[in-house]
Amino acid sequence: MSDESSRELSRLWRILRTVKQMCADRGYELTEEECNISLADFRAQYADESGAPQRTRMAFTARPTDDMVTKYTPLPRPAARNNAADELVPQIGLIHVEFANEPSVGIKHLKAFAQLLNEKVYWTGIYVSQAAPTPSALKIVPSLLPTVMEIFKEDDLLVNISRHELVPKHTLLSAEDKKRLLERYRLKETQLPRIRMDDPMARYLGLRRGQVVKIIRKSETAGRYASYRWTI
Amino acid sequence: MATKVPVKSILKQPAPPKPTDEDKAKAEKDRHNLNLALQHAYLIQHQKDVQAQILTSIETLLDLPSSPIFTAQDANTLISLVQQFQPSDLDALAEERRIDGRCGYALCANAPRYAKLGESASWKLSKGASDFCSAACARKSLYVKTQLGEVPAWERDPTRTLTIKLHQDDRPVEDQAPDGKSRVSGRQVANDGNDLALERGEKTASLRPAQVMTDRIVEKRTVAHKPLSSLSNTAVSHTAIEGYEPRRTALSGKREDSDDSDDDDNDDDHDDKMAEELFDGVDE
Ligand SMILES: [Zn+2]
Repeated sequence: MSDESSRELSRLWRILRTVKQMCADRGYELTEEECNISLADFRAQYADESGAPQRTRMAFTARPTDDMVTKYTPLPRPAARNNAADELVPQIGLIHVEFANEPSVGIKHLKAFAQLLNEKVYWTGIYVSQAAPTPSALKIVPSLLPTVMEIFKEDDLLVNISRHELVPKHTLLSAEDKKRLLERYRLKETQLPRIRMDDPMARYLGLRRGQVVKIIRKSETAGRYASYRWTI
Repeated sequence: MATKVPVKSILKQPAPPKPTDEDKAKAEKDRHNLNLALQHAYLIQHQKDVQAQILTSIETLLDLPSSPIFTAQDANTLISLVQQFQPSDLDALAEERRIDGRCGYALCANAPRYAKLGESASWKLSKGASDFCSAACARKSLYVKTQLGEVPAWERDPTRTLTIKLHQDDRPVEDQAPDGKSRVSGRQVANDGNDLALERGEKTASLRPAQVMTDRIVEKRTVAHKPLSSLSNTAVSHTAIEGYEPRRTALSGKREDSDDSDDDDNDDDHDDKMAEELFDGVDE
């Protein structure tokens, strides 16, 4: 095996691990072994005869766990007018992850991916590309809502940022927890500190506009303390 | 030491029974603010619509030409769709076409030079040149690009339209403008002076901002760059800390009614402890 393909293999091995850990951290069903696959197993599963990794083989789909479904179920509105049942549909579903084979990603690639998400009724799609897609291609993403398409660059997934010692633990609050928090502090959500949707940890957790995330920091003097941020 | 001053709540006081002039003025102001917010919302919506149209146009132009040699219809499609473009949109089109394995010029069916040169294109050719199959196509694309307006389409005067002309090599022999409106003889003589004037923004048709630095443009620019979040939250005060407005006075003032022992100093500990209890379920 050439030096280059062995370097590429270990690069993609790290990237796949990070993506799977990210999905597991969000609450999708993935096993420990999948999230921490060894380099040898990765080679056996995803490399061709020459030892070069095959990105197309790395695509995977995962189901949300029951906990995640609960967390993404909206609260019934007290004054629900017509179909109250409609509002309680969990705002989450299958996630599908694909790795772009081509070095540059344009409109046509993301359109094709969007069509796949639509056909297979995937709730969320993650597209991992080697380089940033073109600006025009990125404009497709918001037009797909409520289907969520997220784009990650391979380089941004070499390391799992959430495991860094300086990154505090971020946890998404359910609608119920968010309501209790606001009631406890007699706050409106707009009065909470904010986190931007393009913040690396917000992207890691796939936070959506309006969600509240709890951040637990460790402090030398005060032990653990929690703060909350509203996603904008 | 002065006698105890009654605590004055900064919470909103219940409205007085009958509407005063102040109330009317406030209602008037609210209505004004609402209109202003709506107006901005419409502008932003308009901008989004136009951007979506441009994106659709780029997608359409990705699939041209419809046959190895472009048809008159292809030419008309190109001419009409690029009217809304800014020069950067044409660059975006060339890039998208290159990624798709086509020459950056929408009427050319060849492969871009990038396809043959690969990564070395970045140093063998100047930036952008590798998107095209040849210098001729790059030139034709540039010819169209120089006619495009620098002003974003959503800020343009809707009554003024732009007639884009193709490079003379690609014009039909009789040199008929796409809308059949103007048929000027003598146009075949490439009018370099004319083109240059256009490029410099000395002609109205070029829609360049340089010719008219009116306040209309300045004003609308500020609208366009406003972050969307400003809509939902128009009142962020300068005293806010990371977007959070400290409300201690309000909270402790209110608490005094029910819980006198609680003083300000341990408010935070108290709250945090409560929060920990509240969310024990969340942070396993
Ligand atoms: Zn060409």
